[in-house]
Amino acid sequence: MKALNQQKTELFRNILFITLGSLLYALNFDLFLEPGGISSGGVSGIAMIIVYAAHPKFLTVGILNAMINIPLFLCGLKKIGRHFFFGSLYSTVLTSVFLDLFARILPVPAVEPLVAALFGGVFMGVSLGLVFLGNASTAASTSSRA
Amino acid sequence: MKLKFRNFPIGKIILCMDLTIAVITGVVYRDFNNTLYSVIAMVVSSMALDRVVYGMDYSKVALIITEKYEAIATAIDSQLDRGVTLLKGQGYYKRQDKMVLLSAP
Repeated sequence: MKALNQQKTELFRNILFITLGSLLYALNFDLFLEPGGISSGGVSGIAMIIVYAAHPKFLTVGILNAMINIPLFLCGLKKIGRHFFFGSLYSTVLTSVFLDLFARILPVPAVEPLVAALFGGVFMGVSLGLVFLGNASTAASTSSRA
Repeated sequence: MKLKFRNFPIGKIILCMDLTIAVITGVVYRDFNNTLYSVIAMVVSSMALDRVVYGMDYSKVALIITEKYEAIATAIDSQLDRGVTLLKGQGYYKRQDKMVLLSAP
């Protein structure tokens, strides 16, 4: 019984970390990285470049992020295991939804590029760290090769 | 990927990919500054990431060489939340046997 409770606590803790990390990631992306034209690397960086270059009508950064990430996770499903897979899937979906939501409701701040790069870097590292501590990953390209 | 670049560490592969993305960013935005800012953001984020993931579980290990090892080991065991291991040591110069306490949380 105690083991079950412990498992539940850990699951709750993981979900909390993943949720907070994904929220911060999306917030940081929309406030610092995208306005500054700063690529964070990884899939969302590629998505940002595609949206900027092509202005696709129905594709937003969030949708593109999910579209590229989810197939990559599926490729790596066997290697990374079920738990890590579902955590990362949850993180990807949450990040994508929040990316589009924040882009719609938040104003685009005019920040100095260097400041945006520094703060964007710090917040990105912290948000990725939170998701990692929740035993998941936001970057499919990382996990599919791990 | 892993098979093809077997003797290429993952960190380096990711670094190469990220640098490529940074360069492409500069090309697409038609401003080399965007590449430089992107690289800054990547470096800072990897530092912050390490802080968050590895910064929390640091630990200190103490090595204590003393004659009164028995008393100190008892004190550590009863008063601190740490474990103690006794190591048999020998001084180099006099070849004198002595005890070394190794204590970790």
